[in-house]
Amino acid sequence: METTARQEDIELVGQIAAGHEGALAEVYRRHGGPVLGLAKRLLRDPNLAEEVVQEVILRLWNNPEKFDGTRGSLRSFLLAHTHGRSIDLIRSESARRIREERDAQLAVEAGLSLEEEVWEMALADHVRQALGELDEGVRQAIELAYFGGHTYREVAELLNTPEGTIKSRIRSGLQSLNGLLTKAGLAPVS
Amino acid sequence: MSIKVDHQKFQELLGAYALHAVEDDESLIMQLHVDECSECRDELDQHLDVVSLLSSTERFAPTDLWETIADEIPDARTLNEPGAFRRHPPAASGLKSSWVVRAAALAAVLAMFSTSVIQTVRLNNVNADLAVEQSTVAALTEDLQRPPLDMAVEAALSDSEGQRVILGSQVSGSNAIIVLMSDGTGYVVEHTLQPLPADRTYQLWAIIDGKIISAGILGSNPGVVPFRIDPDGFAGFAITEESLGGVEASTNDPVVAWLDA
Repeated sequence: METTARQEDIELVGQIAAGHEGALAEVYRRHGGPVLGLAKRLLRDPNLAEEVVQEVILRLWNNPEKFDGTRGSLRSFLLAHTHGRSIDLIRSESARRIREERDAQLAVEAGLSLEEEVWEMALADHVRQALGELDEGVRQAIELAYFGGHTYREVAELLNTPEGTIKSRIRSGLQSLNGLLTKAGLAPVS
Repeated sequence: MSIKVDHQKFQELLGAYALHAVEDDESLIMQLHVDECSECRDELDQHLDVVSLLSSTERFAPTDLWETIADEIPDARTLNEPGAFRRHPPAASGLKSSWVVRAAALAAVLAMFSTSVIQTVRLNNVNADLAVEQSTVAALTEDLQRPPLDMAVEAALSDSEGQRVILGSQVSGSNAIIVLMSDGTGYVVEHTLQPLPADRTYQLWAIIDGKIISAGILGSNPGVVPFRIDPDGFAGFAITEESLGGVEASTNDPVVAWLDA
């Protein structure tokens, strides 16, 4: 079934490459919700989030060849672009005000409130459970990096932990999540 | 030696790179390396797939946002061209429950009362009875406040293509009911399993092509639990009791099971 979904992704993108707007509309229907949800969570600004969604979807329209169906699902491709673009906005000079406000929220003490916010997100129960099974230091590193938009160096500074340790925690944490989600029958087949 | 050390440094950064948690110069270097190294590329793809599951489960994006996107698409095919697609918001498809029809009706009703023109929503019921519309809105509002999982289960239960399976055991006397859709989506909807201690959990297994594959952790006192399997070659279900976190392969007898005769 995962193979079927992957094949559909490839066919849809092929139709987009052929100029079929309806195929792009179908991509938006299938993946627009999670893409918008991620952007809203990262940027905390619905208008900016919608702009990011526009960029991501239009990027697919303009450069469908960038999607390699042998390397992952269309959703993970779109979400990776969404996350990257959102992080760019967060880190850019033009978004300095946003970053200052977010940094104030994401101080080490507020690292705990970020954790609470993550739990409040509309995460699938099993994903939430898998995150909960990670060591606290590993989970914090991933949350601050992914949801907080911080580089691993900034995470190291926030958590007063060596950079190498943070890099290792993030990498091992993602590998652990893959194992936990595979057990729960959730991890997609790459 | 130096090449091996350098490669290790690339590997160490793969997790942070997948989370966009690296500096710009590191990002560029990692991109160049990943393009050339299949080992790192495979690991990165795995990280990205896991990361995609961390994203919100928000289900739908707004119709008016699609309109804005569609307006930016140059030279799109028009209605008059053969094989063209109409420029309307992607309609929900694949579900056969009344929920989908009622959601479309809500969109039409909201469009009628909205001050902004939603060009892409078909106003088919302009002359409908206002009292009927208002009761529809009330019912739909109640639906929208319901958890998505409840709505998905309801849709599955009312879908004629859904297969209802009853797992049982003459030994334990327990039962569990599973609804399985043709695409492999399923739900454990009811059961009489005894609650387990906090350090134990129930685990669902699917028998596919003669192999026993984990279909997910159900928890120590399961509620409604969604799961997904490959429906090709599917032959049965079993639920076992395991230690917290589950196992990759069970050595325990099923608490309840069902096999396709």
